[in-house]
Amino acid sequence: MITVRDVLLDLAKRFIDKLLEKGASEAEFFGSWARVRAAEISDGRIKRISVSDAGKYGIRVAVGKRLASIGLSDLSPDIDKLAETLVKIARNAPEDRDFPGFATNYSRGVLSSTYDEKIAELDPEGIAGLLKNVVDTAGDAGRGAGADETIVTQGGLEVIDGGKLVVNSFGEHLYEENTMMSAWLEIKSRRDGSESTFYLEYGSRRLDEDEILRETVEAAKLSTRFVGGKPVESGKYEVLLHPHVTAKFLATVLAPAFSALHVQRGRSPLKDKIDKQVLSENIDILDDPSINWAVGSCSFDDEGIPTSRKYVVSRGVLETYLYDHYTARRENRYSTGNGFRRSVSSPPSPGFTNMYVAGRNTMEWEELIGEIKKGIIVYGVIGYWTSNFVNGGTQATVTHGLLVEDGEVKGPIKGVVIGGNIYEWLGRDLIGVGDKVVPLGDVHAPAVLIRNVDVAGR
Amino acid sequence: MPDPFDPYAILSYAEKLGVDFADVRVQRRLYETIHLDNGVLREYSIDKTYGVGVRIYLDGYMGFASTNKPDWESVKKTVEDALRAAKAMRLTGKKQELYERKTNKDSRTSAYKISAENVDPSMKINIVVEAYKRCRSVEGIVSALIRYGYEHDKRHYVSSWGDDVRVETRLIGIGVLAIGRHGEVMERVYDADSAVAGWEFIESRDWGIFAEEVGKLASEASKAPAIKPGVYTAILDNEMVGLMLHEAFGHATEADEVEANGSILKGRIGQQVASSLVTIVDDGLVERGFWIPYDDEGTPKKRVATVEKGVLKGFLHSLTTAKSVGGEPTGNARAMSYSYPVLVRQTNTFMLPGEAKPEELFEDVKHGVYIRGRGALGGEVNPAMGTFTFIAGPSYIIEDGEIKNMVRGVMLSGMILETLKNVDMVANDLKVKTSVFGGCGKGGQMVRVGDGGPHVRVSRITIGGGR
Repeated sequence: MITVRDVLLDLAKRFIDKLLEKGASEAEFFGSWARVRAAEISDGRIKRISVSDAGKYGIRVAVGKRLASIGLSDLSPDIDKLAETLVKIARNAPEDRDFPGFATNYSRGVLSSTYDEKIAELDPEGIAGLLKNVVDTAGDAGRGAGADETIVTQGGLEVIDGGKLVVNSFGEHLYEENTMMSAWLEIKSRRDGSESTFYLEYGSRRLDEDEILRETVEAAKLSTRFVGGKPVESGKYEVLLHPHVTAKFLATVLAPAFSALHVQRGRSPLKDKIDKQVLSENIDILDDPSINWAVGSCSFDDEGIPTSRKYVVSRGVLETYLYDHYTARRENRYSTGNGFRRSVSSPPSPGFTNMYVAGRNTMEWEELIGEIKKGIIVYGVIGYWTSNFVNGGTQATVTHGLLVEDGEVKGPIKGVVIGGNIYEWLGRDLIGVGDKVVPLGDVHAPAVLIRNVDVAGR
Repeated sequence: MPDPFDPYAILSYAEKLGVDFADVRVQRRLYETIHLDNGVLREYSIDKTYGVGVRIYLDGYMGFASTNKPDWESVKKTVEDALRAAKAMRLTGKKQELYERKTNKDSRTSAYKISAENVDPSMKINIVVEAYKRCRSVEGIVSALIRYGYEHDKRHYVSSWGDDVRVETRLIGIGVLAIGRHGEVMERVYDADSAVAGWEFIESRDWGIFAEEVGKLASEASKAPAIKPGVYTAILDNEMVGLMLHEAFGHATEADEVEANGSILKGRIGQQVASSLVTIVDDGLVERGFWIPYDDEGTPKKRVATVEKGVLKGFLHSLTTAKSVGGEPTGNARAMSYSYPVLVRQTNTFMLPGEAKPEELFEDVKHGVYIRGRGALGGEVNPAMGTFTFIAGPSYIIEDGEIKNMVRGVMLSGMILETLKNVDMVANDLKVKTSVFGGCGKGGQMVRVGDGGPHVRVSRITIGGGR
């Protein structure tokens, strides 16, 4: 049977030929495809298995410096009519005087492991079996940690094999295939009639059952620890962020500030800060597409430019912004291979492959707790995504926290707002950085201990 | 060539394979975006989607599969995949039953006068360019993005029960993101206005004025201090009330959360869960909300009061949760697109108005905050832990009943079972709002929603935020 990838390759050629015929000066085709198998849990049992097989693609066209794009999931499109519409929209668009043409010189940069045959071969029965194992493991681990009952109330497991394809009207094309496994579990434990939960998020490009089960055990144990959480008094506290919580904040409030697009458009606080100290000397940040099996690893970006491993922040000093072709040419430099698209029809904009954050001097988790005089360990937050990259304002409501006094864990906390500014948190208010760098999606982050955090509570 | 996504051909193929029940969702969707970034046309794109999703039941087990490969062999394989998925659950899965309701045959189209597809692209570009100029004309604005969005969604549902429901919706709007700078401090404010309508909605108002207002707010906010963290008396405007209800209560009333044992409201029907001033409604057809006459299981969307005078009355249901949790289908089974299975989702969530005039809410507030929705980013809830949060736009301190200085970075936090008990006044002004640029996310699916309410006073709520 013809694969979606074959269909996309064929469509790319036909669309580009037709667009040039209709008067386009250049064109770019970006396609992605995915075969998805997913199972969902409700109240400890699998309630549904679903399967999908789909491709989608976007075409950007330029008439001189006038641009338009179209995104389609229709695999039998009316090419003639669509090409005509697209060229017409482009002709009517205002000129983008900075448009340098679409990216050329496609090639692969770093190569890492991103395709796992075991994932591609996993069928619905295999997924159901794996998920059942995860659910049973959670139950055992929760009871082992003292719960009367532990169940996975809601959750899911999804495996994907797919890929991306980029083609331009200069005769270049490149594609890459990859696999992905992700799981999320809401684990609930009951003890003496009271309940608490913990939420596990997991993602990897390979099938590593042992790793998923280890994380499940960890999460199930944690699910027993937040029974009876309540707010603490408002005030200033020390706060220890679990690596996943650090990652969530970094993805929202820090990562976008490195985009050359935001810098050039005057909305990044890192503007004019190259070679300046922007974070604590203890912090390094890398753009690292070379990590095996990591979610953001890839050998070229969404416009065919090779990716590379590089320091973005070294000892707290800003080394570079992230560029795609468009923003790079505006500064007469080369793209750093960081052009990624929000959707198949969007223009690329600069972003990390994997954002890897680590400390130079690190401490073990227990040591970090030992440093706390009056503080909160934060394991779970909601609303963190409203943190504000234009000024570094950082905020979230804590759903899973533990109060610590003089290095000793007291009781669970929930329903308090923690707030501050990321440049202070990872700057003058940084007390310590954890030794383990843990992935969450494409952000790899350590635990961080911060002083002077505003806490709104009782 | 016969249409490979002919739902009746798909249905009869599924029935030939011996399934107990099948339903088919065919969707065609167009989404047009114009995105003007600092005066440069960053994106003019049209996204078109066309595909089919098939759900089947066999011996009580549910399987779902979808495709957009438009050939009959691929479509047949999709039906077989759905069946195989259901069979794979025999060892480990949970049986589910469907609530048997009466058959529906209907075809509905949302009201519009001018189809935006037929409007010349240059007219649309002119609107965003003009809005951009007006926004940038405001002193202190260093960056601005203007967005135009238009969605035309056609869904066709058929089932082995004989349902045949077609729903066609148009949603259109303009969004403005303005970034103000004062010294070293920058602040962003985003606002959008959308309506279930055609191009006539864009023509009905001056978007330059709208963009200028957003710019002024961003400029002013960049000069405002962050709020001092603590517990406050808060007056929430119409938009904020909607946001709070959606998070604080809406999600916990979704019966799939209840069925999963994931909602703190499980087992509380008939209990007082809010102040007696509070009545909360989920309605698919309210004015200025999103428009949902039928859900993605072909069930008519009923107006449901989940909370009446503070008492929890019922949950929002799909056909399966109406059976498992108990209740009647309410028309709340919704999917982001043909390629996703349905989940229980809210439609338009709002509080019914009370009797007070909005200004009366402020009268005896000694020290509080007037929480404004303009520029608010949204919210999130953990229905199992019972904690919710939502983020306001630039807001104002209230001193002795008077609205005083602006504060920024306002994040509110509350507990599902406590916060709505602290509602002590409800005004008589109802407003509902929807958006073509966003919606509500759950289980990886985003659906359009609306929310709103009257001005409401909450005697105690935790407020903090970034700076």
